[in-house]
Amino acid sequence: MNVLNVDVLVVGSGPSGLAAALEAHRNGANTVIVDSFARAGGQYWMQSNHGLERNDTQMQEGANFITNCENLGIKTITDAEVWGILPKYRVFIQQGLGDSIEIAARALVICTGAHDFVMPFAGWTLPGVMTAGAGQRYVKMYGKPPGDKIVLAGSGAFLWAVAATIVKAGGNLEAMVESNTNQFRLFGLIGRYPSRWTETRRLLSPVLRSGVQRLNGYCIDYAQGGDRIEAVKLRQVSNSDRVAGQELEMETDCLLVSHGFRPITEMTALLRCEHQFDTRKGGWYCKTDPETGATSIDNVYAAGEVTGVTGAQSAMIEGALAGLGVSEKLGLTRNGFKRKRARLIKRQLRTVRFADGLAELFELNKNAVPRIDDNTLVCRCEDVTWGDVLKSWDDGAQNLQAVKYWTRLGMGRCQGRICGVAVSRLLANQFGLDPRIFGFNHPRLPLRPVPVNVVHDAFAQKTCR
Amino acid sequence: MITIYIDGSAYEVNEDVILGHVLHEVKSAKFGSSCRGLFCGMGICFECVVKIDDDSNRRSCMTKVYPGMQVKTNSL
Repeated sequence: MNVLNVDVLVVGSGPSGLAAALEAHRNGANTVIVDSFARAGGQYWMQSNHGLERNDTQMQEGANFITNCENLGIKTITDAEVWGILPKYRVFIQQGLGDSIEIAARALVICTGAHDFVMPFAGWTLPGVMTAGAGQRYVKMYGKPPGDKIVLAGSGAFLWAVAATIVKAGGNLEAMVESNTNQFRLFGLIGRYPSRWTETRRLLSPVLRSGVQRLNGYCIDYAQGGDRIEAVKLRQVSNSDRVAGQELEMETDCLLVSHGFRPITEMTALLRCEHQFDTRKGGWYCKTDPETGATSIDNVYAAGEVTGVTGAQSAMIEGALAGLGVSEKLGLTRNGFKRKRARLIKRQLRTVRFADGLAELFELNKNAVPRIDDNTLVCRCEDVTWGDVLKSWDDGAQNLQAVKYWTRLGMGRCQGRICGVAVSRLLANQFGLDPRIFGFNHPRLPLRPVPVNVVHDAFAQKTCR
Repeated sequence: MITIYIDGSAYEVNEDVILGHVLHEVKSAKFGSSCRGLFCGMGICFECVVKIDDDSNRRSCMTKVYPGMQVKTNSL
């Protein structure tokens, strides 16, 4: 097996990964990026195949950043997934269906980002129900909307971004359903941050112009359908446990849902970096030094949403800080890096304050989560129901790991990425507990399913040395 | 346009599109024994795994189409 030796390996080529790589490269570190997608950019700077970037400012901004990195000679290995990391740091990736590639790196910068998380509800496994991010990616990559009567539901500023993508592509968005009723406070917050006005206008104006029906203070109750989703039942969020809100039903062939984002912590957790919990930052995230991006593990740095969900602007700054931090650690910094760091830290304070304000406004109220009953599937891979989870709780399973042993929840192909956060929150709501006490599912090698011969070849090599 | 085969039927699709998106549009395609659809669309949930040519468990949301690809949506 070929071993590629580098100073810095950056995992993930979204805003934080690219910014980290750029900064490390500028300081003279031999830097390589790996990314699981076919093109660099991550989710925020996703690059379409349709020439859409010409009238998409965000995509264009990403294209410019990517081109800049390429022109400087920073190599991005795309279509490549990390499935294993061994100490000091041997990283195993599989590119496409090929053999493993080993990258030996003096230091790592983990920029794996986040994915949408969805609270379970009856009918959430029907085809046509997908995450809001999946819907947005569909439009950007396939060039058309994912349904003829789309309903977008959940909570968060991201709903606006997805709605904008859909209406700009000419899609028929039936309704945008936000469980919070904080519109005035939202505009108040944005009003205090003039640097965000352009971005806000870019997301809001196509949606407002399109005249899409917006329901505030409603949440999903359940979805109905035969082979595919046919309708979604919504209910008014009630602030009282006893008074039921108004209900309404909407026909739809595509329900896009987002209840927030979950940091993708498999790699940082595998490396045993210290993690912290904050529901406003997406649950469990990797703890980092805010000035350098250093994690609790030597020569492992992290930036972007994996260090707590605070948005793309902050991810970019965190990436640059981690790039500087890792360069300093490797003794590679150039003159003036301290000034640069100070400037970035100052900018970051304001960016994070804005992100915290948004997170507070869109915090998922426990009365705004979809209704579930004992028969609702909560683990999609292993078909574990909410009733199964409650029974395991009664039997003494008091954290996610124990629930997993009892019920197989989180043992399937998604490895608990989809159900883990949701079940912690559901249990916390049910028993009035703090969701952090349930812990998280510890990742194991291989991080992604790879053929056993690929694993064998990678490790057989190791024993021969 | 290129031709791909989904559960034995031929489909004309644009080059360079993602297989999972084609399967979502072709409404007859359901994933696995429990007939799931595209869910996370970004390689996280593994709901959309299919058999492509001789390889099982390929995430269709992470795979580009290529001419003549044979896709089996219920390969478990």
